Amino acid sequence: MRSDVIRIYKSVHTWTGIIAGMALFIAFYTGALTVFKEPLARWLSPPGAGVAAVSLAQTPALIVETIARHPEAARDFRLHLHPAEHRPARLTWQVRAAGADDHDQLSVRHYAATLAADGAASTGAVQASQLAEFIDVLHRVVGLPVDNDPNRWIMGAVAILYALALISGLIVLLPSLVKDFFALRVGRNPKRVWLDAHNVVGIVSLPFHLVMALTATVFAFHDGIYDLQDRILHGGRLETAFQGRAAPARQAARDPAELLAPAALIERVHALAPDFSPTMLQYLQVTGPRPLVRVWGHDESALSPRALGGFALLDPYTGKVLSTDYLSGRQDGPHTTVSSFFALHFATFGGVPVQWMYFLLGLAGAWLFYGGNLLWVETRRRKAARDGGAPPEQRRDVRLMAAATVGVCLGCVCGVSLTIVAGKWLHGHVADLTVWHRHVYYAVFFAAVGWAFLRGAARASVHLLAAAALFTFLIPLTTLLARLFPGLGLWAHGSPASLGVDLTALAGGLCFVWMAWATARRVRHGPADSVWSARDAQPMPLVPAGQGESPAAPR
Amino acid sequence: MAGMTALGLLLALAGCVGIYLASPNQRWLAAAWPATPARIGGGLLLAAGLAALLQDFQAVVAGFVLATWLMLLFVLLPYLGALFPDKKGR
Repeated sequence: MRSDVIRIYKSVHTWTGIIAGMALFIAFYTGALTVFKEPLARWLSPPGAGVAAVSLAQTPALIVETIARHPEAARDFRLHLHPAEHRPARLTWQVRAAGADDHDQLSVRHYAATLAADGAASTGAVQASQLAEFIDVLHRVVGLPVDNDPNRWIMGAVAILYALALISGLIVLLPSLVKDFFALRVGRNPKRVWLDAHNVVGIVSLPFHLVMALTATVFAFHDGIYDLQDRILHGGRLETAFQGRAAPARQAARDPAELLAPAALIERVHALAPDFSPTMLQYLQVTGPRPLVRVWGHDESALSPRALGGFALLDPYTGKVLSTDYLSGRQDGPHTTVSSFFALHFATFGGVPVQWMYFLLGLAGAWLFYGGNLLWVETRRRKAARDGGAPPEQRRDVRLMAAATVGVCLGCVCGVSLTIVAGKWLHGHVADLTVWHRHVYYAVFFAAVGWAFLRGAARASVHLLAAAALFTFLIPLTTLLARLFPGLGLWAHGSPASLGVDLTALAGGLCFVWMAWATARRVRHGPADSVWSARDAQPMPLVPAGQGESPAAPR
Repeated sequence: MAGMTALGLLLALAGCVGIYLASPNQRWLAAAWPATPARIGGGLLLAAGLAALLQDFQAVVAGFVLATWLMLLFVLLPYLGALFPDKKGR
């Protein structure tokens, strides 16, 4: 391939990577955590009545009484089949705030219904933390606070830049791809180390990243894509096309007392797909003319078409199966093809082992973007003359980029860890925990960014890695304190999912300690002619461009 | 984790190690394994791993699981080599 062509693609790769890199770091770090959204929610959920307080046989009465008291629940309520810490009761429903975006899960109010000791229904708002959802929002809109159209479009633009960076990076590497495959040369040339470290992850996990780039772009613009599809292909009748195989519209409203018992619905699905394990029944419009129930669950041998799993669509009054298009293990070829993209993004196949693989690949992705920025910094390093002398001052743009990379990336890590911890410590002390998750995260994030610019990348990287370690250790420490001192008002669950969060945080904290130690060593004893040296580093002087730079130094 | 899934992942791990150690860029050993036999052996182990995964998963899922596992391993193996190089410090 011609060298001038390679040079063009290298420029494209550099600039797309630099523009999108920090946003992608946030998307991948929080995305890795979102793989374990459910364990996180379980770790943080306070003890409650839970699913087991109401037997499945008692649920028909609970449904009738709940809808009588809260007619709005009939629009969409869920019946949970298995107990878990984050399931506050057998029956739950959500009410979206007026005017909120369809995707804005953080504006949703959660309600639950259970049966009291005397058999009467007890309903009320759930004060549980939306931490896992908040981290998911950070993932979906690259660190922005709300999942709405403009923020999704920003995420879509970032995803397009990401795709461009992947393709251009591949083209740049093509000439040496075979020769340098698996090469990670650790030596005295830091640029070579960062380049190899970046290339190993980028090339080997390229299919993973291509799927992520493609699906993220579609997720960002899917509302617009559907609108366009509706106008061009469906003549404005797309919604009716989706309802084509649903229950025929009835004229009269239905009485929830006539609903088929949940056990009977589960039995119908079991007869249809014996390997499918139901986890939840989602009732839709049960008092309306077109009542539906989705029986959600998993088939361990098949992929799940959605993050929640797969579902069979039934008439909740007759038990008639209306659709198996989204039923795991029973999908036809076209639906399996489309569902594969969802499954490959959400890691909803292969069970827990694949969730761990995605977690690690997600962290490797975050490392890819962090390393890419460090490579940009290293490439523009001004080296000291071979015959010694004072180390040259590094370029201002390089110092700023190094500070921004350290501040944004480690600020995200610190903010996420501390907001997880805050979920337990602030519970019961603040009115709206979800709002406080935002406050804590962004306070830490912006403080980290400010600190990085104030102290310079070298010193701040050590401080922020130490802070990341401390905040991450606070997660298992909080659990330990809850066990040792019950009077603190904290709680600690003993489920493997909940303990898994503590153990993972402990391992993460140890990794950050090691990184802080290695970085501190580099900062103190590494070559002084680098933005990563504190021997020469000065606090980030925000002087006008051009001042303070050595005119003799190469640009 | 089902038994055949664990077996499939272990076989694939062995296959990936074989393929990695056959690379001239490997850093685990002082000298790379002979390329052709190691790569053929690695490929066979990967095929055996896929066959084991097919016992627990539908074909498309088995393929996805294996691909995801390979990507993770081929990222990790060079990094392990860099963190713990052979005694000659390569």
